[in-house]
Amino acid sequence: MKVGILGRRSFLHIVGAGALGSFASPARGAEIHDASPMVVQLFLRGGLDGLSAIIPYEESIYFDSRPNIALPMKGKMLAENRLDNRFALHPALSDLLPLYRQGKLAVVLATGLPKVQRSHFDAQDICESGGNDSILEEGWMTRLLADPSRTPRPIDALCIGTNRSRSVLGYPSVLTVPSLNHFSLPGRGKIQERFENALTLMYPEQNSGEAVIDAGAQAMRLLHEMKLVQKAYNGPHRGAVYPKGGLGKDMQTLAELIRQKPALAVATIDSSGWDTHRGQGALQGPLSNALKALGEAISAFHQDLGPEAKRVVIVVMTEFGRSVRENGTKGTDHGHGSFMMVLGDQVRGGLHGTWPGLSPKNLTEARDLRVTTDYRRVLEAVRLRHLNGNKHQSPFEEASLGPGNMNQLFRDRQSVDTNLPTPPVESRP
Amino acid sequence: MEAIHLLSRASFGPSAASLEELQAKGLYEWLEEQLNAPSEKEEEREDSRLELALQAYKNASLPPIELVDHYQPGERPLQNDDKRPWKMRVATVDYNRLLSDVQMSELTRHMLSKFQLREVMVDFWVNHFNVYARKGDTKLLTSAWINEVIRPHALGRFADLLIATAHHPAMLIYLDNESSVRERANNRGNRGTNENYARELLELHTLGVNGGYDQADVKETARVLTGWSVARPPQGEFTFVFRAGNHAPGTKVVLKRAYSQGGEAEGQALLVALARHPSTARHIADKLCQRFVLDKPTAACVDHAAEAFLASGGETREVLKAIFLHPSFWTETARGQKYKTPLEFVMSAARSVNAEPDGGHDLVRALSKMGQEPLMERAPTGYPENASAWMSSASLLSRFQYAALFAAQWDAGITFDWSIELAQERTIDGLVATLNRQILASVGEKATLELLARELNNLPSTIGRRRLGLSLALSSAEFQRQ
Repeated sequence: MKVGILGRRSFLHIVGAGALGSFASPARGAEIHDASPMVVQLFLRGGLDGLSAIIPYEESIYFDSRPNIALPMKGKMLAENRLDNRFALHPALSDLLPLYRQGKLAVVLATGLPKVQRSHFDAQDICESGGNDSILEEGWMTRLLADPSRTPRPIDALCIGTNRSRSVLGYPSVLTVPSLNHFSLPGRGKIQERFENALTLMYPEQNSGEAVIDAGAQAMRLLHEMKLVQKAYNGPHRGAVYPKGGLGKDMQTLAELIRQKPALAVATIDSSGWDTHRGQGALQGPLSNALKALGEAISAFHQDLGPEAKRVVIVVMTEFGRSVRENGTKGTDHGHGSFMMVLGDQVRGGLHGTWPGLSPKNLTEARDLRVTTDYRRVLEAVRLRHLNGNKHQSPFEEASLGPGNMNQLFRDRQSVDTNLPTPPVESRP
Repeated sequence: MEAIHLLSRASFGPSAASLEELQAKGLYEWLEEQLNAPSEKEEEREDSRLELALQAYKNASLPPIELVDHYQPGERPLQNDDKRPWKMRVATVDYNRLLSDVQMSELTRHMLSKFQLREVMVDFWVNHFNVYARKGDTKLLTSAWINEVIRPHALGRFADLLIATAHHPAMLIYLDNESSVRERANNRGNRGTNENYARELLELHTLGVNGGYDQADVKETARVLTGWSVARPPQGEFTFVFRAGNHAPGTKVVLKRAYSQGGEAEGQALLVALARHPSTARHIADKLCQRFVLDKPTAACVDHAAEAFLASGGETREVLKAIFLHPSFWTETARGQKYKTPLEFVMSAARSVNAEPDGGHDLVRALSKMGQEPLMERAPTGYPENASAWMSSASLLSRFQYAALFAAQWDAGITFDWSIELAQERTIDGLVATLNRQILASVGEKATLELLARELNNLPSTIGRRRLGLSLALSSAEFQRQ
């Protein structure tokens, strides 16, 4: 079933033509004093094997089910990567440990869709549309942005990449930015000038409701904006070093845009290659390499942003976890529960959620980690507590929300909460 | 206008010649001819322009083993006395050049072939049965995959195509089935099945995600297909091999039907059953209607196509005929209501001015910037067909950028002759009218045409006007619609 919550009319109401038309006005400088809280959704496509990232090192079933790919957590390695008395971080993610120890990084255990969905594409679409067991017409961020109590900004939604993320589907004004380079029209002199001028006339900002007209107008805005961004860009700040490869480059682009575009409210960024059916490895191997790049990229991003990081919460998510047992090719097949990470200044660092355990009777369909926190519970906590969203304007259908309670995910604003006790992880017998 | 509508869907865009041909032959004869396209080899014998344009990339269609010798660094084939072992020779292959040649061969056919419906269907199946050209040894197999699996069956029986995909090393490698084996313990620990191919076979290739299967069916399908693997050099020449010792014994049940034949026959029987399943008919019909009619096709149209699929035993020709002859295809609400993918954008631009590839690889780079580099989608879904995927700021900006390169023939990967009608026009009104007719298939809106006239008026040189006019026409909203 597809549900369209927003009509075009509501957008015209919410995002008035005035707001959209102001991008080139000198009011740009004014936005800086007006920096808004924002959320970054980092989506790991392919289904991250949560059990290889957050290792339940006390569970013998974990080692029994994975003779070739379990992480041998003990001794010094365990001491260095231990999160608590039951869980440890994959050593490849060690770049995240300082953030975890500073109490800025929360790990929510056993998250996922409330119902089993083992198709990548449906699971991703459901997650990004904020659905329960079916794909909704608009993205979850689209509905979030349409909250009438929010003041829309000229540039408030950004997708890193060539294409729009499903999460902002239906939002009329989205910038998609593949990189910091290649933002000029080819040619020179009079023809180039006329071409650019004519395109601006051809695609006026008007919220037409027709995809190509809106995308064309945003393309011209992108061209203008990115020329300014490029002019002001002088590399990562504070000596941040991003890992080589797509994710590092994309996170670097994102950090710069966050710095220069203080009105951003949501951004999406993707990382692919997590579908580890074969030879995923343990301490070394393709999954370890991918985790290394992930940890380095997040850590560099945080350092690069510096004081700007205060207004940014990053949510790391994936469409599903993988089978508890390794398969016949030293990999893992599509499963159910995985985990999410939430990084931010006001986040209550540590482990959150309920660990369902790995004994067969606690698994979903006797093979997969059970989901004890509906992924939407985490997103909703970020919306309410970080973006100051309206309680009555949830982008998620209340009645369909699955298990989980994320009331503790953020620290209270007023309290000076310095020693940050880790909330106890509940456990099922 | 009927002819334009048909050519904007059943081909990579109208060219002057294709429009003339369709008008001369009429819908039925044209469609019959397109549906009964000759083999690519026969076509090349008859079409010297196509044959010549393919010359630059022809090494890419050599058998996989020979590719290794032809794509060594320095563009010279290895000498016969190269006695280095296979592993050493394969390690030095210039895959970038090889894959660019494979991609350009495909783009050349898409652009120039007179059998456009076949070319569109090749693109359709390449995405339906997606294989990522850079995964492992697939790098050497992509050309064989297209020429031996996709092309011969593009307009034929779905079951034949499905069975061919299931046996081809490119697919067996891409979705890991080559190493899926029966469960058993040996000295290397447990080995067993890998569900990757089985799941996509049911979800993407045949039944569709709501086609009525469950996790147990996926698992059993994987067991039926255990042992379907690849013989690699130096033992084999990248051929299908059924390894009986790796095949799971006993009866398997998929969709309530028991399979106990054993051997390769078991998988064969499952594939035949899947190919003729009503869910498959519906899934394929739905995807074809999305491709040819509307992003959200009407139920009537999909039902009609699915019936044609079932009635004909899965003959793609019959399904296509059903779609093109159905009223849904011809209604006003379908015309101009789809958007071009980047591939369709580039191909239709080239066809509108009778361009051809320039012998290099710039066209691949252009498509890569637009987010649709041929054969390079990692996800097994293939590239999306629907508008929502392609209408983004970055995607449109890359189209504007390409339009400018294209009109100037700078690094655009194509070449064309300005002796086309556009060049003959001396007046601005004449130029705008010709752009509308030739590039915009006469659907240019008043505001667009007026804008064109105003902007061209500001340029003194004829060459400048031509270039700007063509860049703008290709950048217009009208040109993105199909």
